[in-house]
Amino acid sequence: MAELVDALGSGSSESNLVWVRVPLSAPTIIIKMSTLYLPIGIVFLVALSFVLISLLASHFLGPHRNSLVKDAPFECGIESKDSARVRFSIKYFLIAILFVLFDVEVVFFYPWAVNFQELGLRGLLEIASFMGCVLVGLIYINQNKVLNFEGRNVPR
Amino acid sequence: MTHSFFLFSIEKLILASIVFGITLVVAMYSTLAERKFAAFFQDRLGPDRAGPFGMFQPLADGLKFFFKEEFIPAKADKFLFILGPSIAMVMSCMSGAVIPWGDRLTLFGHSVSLQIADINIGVLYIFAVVSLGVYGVILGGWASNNKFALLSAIRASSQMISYELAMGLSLIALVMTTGTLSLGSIVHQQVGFHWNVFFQPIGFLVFMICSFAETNRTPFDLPECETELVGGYHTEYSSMKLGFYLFAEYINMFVASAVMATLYFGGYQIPGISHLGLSPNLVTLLGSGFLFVKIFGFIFLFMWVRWTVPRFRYDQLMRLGWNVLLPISMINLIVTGAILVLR
Repeated sequence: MAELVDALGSGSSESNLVWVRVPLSAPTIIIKMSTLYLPIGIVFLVALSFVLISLLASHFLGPHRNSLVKDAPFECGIESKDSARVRFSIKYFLIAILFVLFDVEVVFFYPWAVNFQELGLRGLLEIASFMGCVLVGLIYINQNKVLNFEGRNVPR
Repeated sequence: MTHSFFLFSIEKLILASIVFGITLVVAMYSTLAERKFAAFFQDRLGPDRAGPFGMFQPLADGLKFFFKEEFIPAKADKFLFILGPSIAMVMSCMSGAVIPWGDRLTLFGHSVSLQIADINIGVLYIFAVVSLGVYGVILGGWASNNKFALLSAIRASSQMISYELAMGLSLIALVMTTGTLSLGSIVHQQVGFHWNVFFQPIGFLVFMICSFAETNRTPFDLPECETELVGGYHTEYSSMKLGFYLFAEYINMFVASAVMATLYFGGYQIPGISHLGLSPNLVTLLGSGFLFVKIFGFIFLFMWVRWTVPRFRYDQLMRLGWNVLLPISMINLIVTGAILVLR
């Protein structure tokens, strides 16, 4: 474990990449992974404890004086009407769906980009054809006015 | 084995706490800087009552958050109402974990890296954490059961996810030139004046515009557009829960500046410092200082833009994200690839 911690902490940028390629037994990989990701867990715990302590502190330090009017949702002073759990425009839902599609495509680019120097021209041509398909998709959603948010062009 | 593992954990815990503390202080004083710069741009004085030049104003504001009434609207979903700002705060602090805040320090004969976690997917980790931050906004806005908050939350989430696409694509061109996703290695490669911004100016521009949108800063601050939506997604929030949302925004700004400085402006590397023959520890500390100078420069840029550029309309925002920035970063990607292959 000692040499493992040293190897991970040695700051040499390649040390992280090397162990992916050298075949290792499953327990070793798990130990190495957990040492790499342990600091992130520590950061999470530090942030979480700050959030919990602050929430508790503000809960106990501040006053609590409720009333029926005060607990109503704010609507600029007018008496609040109905619930806010209303249907919202389909446009936002379309954006969310498109994000899922396009973001998955963007993630596909990352492994290629890391290995770009090795893949060379062939990799570039292949990714260009893939990107062509993505662009056709983008042009298609534009033709169907999905991204238009104003006037008569709003999709129904 | 357990002994060195224990030491390793303690070292990382101390480092994480220090980084967290610095992040909070920078975020607190960014609020003061923002108000001071706003005053400067508008020919006013700004806050000047608490301490000399208003130096204690952030402390007074922070204390006020603790002593204000904590309030949950009757119709709100209580669990999600508390969860929303907590997620926003935790996630904004977590993105700082992979940023190399400096080179190595030798303390008591022990070499310490000033990067909390040098994972080999650092860039992807930042994207993952930024995406999780969207949940804080949408959960808080929806749980409030307020119409303004709901409108703001759906606006904010569709804005943030739209600009995340262009952000991700603009970084791919950078990854092609560096060949790694580890932020530590990306900084190592930029030794001297080999800053990535010189090789990727268009990628940097797209990335910067997207980080303005991701942090909900003007000109993309439609989620908390006070002329239309009162206070946006945090209309119903008070006391420390409101503080978390406001803090998270400034921490996000700080981290976004740090990411830009790290990826495109050489991080902690000072060009030509190796010729001066200084001790390694001094070089590391100077480098960290230099990184913070760059970060403060970007934070100033965020504030400068806020008082210079008016807010976009929603349809303009969407058009810019999908029909301008997305195609530009795609073209940038292909052109970068062609240049790298033909060279």
